[in-house]
Amino acid sequence: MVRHLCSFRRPMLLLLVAVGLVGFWSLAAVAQDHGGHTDDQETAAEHAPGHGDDHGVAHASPVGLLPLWTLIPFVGILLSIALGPLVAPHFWHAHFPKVSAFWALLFAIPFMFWNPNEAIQEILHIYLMDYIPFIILLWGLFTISGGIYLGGSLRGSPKVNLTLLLIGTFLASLIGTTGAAMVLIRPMLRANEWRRNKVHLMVFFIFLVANIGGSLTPLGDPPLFLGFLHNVPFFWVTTGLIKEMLLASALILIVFFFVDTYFYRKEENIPEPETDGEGIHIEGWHNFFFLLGVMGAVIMSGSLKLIDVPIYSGGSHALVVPLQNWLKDIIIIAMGILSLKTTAKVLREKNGFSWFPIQEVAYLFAGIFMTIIPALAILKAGSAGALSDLTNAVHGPVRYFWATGILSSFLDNAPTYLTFFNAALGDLGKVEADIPGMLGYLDESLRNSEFISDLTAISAGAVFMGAVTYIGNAPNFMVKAIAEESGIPMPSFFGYMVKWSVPILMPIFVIVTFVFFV
Amino acid sequence: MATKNNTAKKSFYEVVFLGKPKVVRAFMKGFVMGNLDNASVIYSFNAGIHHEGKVEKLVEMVGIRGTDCHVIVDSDTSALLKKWAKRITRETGLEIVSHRNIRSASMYFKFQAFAPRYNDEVVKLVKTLPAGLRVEGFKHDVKLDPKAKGIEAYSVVHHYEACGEATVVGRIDLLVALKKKFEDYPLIQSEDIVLKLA
Repeated sequence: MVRHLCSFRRPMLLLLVAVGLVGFWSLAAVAQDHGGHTDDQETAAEHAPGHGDDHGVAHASPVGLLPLWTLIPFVGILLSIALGPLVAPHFWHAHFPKVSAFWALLFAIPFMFWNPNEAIQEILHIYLMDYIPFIILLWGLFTISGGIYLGGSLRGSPKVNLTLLLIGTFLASLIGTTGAAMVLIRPMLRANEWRRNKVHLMVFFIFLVANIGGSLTPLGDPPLFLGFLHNVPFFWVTTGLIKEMLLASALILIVFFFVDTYFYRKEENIPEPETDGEGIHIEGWHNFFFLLGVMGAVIMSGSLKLIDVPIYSGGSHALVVPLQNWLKDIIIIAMGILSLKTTAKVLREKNGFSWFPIQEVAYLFAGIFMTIIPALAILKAGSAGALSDLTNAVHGPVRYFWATGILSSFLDNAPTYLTFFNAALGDLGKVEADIPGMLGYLDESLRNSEFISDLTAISAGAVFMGAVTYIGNAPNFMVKAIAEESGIPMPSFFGYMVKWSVPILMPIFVIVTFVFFV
Repeated sequence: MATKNNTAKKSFYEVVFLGKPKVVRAFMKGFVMGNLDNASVIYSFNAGIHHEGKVEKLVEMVGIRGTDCHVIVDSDTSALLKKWAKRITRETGLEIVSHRNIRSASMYFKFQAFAPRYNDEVVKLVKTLPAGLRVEGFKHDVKLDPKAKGIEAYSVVHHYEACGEATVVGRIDLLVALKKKFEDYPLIQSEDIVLKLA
């Protein structure tokens, strides 16, 4: 065992050093080509006039001119997350924090050597503005929803299952897809324990509760919260995506009803009506107040304008964090702590609650946010950046919907969303401060229908198509594992795609495309 | 017990009719109703019995042989069919092309469970097979990973993993009943029943 670990660590260390050295020298060469730091800034300013910070202060970052291969750590971590659980599940389970750290350091070390001030500013920016609020929100939602327990049982008939899925679909937008999946998966399993054919129930649960249901608020799915952190107004998602979400959900629910009725009729031992379950009851319902507190805090941070707290001024622009952001995070933490203090532990135990999923998110997204720095900067640079081919190739809502969606199916949908979100901004030469205006929240003259269509398509693609594979969204695998531990033979990775997601979801997404994006 | 042992020795035959399966099924129903009280009739296709080799399939594909229907019957029914084979062909158009004693039948299965409860259910099922069936080559493995307890989202592994495989050998009618019973255990994947013919 010791020999095995040593034989693994040494090549990994050598690889880290080798790639780090190559990265360092190449970054240094890029800096030299552009005549040093000051010239870089001027060049970027000339080529990327729209590049600016989150508050609209015009500036240009030399990070936007980094070469394409600096995205290797970003691609590496996304592929690790996608392939690790499939190729080497036990290794991945034991070592994913190290893998995340590896990819993060692979970018961070040469980046710090290349331009320390810019690197510090970019790293602080992404961690303070994106990573920490992101983790705090997920922690808050996960903690609070873990205290809500749906007890009792029902008889899993097609109508009951349809109702449970419908509740889950809308609950997902309030407590997040992970929270909704955690709360509803066990009632769904209990209601259908007597049934022989249950695989389809879990598959449709993944489609709706673990993915598409999270479309209506930034609390619903991580990509949408990242959009909120980048200036997309809280309720834009609700109004902007509701038509797409309702159509997709309605079509999926109709298909579900027919499929479930078919399997229900095949069951030989359908319980008599008098042996029906006792019905569903909610325990820990007071946690809904804490959820409202979280929602209120998030909405407050998007609407209240307090002072900006200066953090760092050594880079190409000063980094400030608005006070309302700190306030929002403090309120969310307070809501989570209150939930922990006021909810009986037994309810969390009944939900199978543990901190591990949040630890996973914390470790992995620490790596994702570090490595995404060059990707976002390059995309923001638009035609001046190394991804100008991508920004030139992906235009219009149809392409954004499918490009974001297909990538979200195989990579995590949060960074994928952020990538295309920035591509759309770079494409239009706009900055994040322009977003409320472009979405029609300020003066009507600022409204930009092209951006609205693009953002709708990107948001829908990221959220909807997370359901296409097990690795598209975090709760998918969670549902699969819980179902398997409850004796349901869930399909393999490709079985899920071939038998279920592609035949059912793809035609529905084509309909959504023709109705809304063409 | 004596009865069980006697029934365990019951012999079966595979009768192959040349004709459409629907017609064969209808004929057999009438034949049994008119002649026998306790006949065992199993249609290979319905019962998941693998009845053909590659050569036979090729022969059918190139059109040398028409549609056929494999039926498993007990010795009494078999004897009666054999006796009246010519009359059956003359009066119904169905031709009996093969009539062979089943020496043995076997079925391979495997299972995977991620909770002790489901593993125990399958193991109990395998260990309490009826007389007339026996298990060969039973391999069973349980792996525990205490660190993997609880729910995960990005690094999902099961803290309990059990898997097993075996081949059940024995009387065809009992094997068909077992295959049907396995359908109630979704974690068991069984293959077609393979016949060894005399």
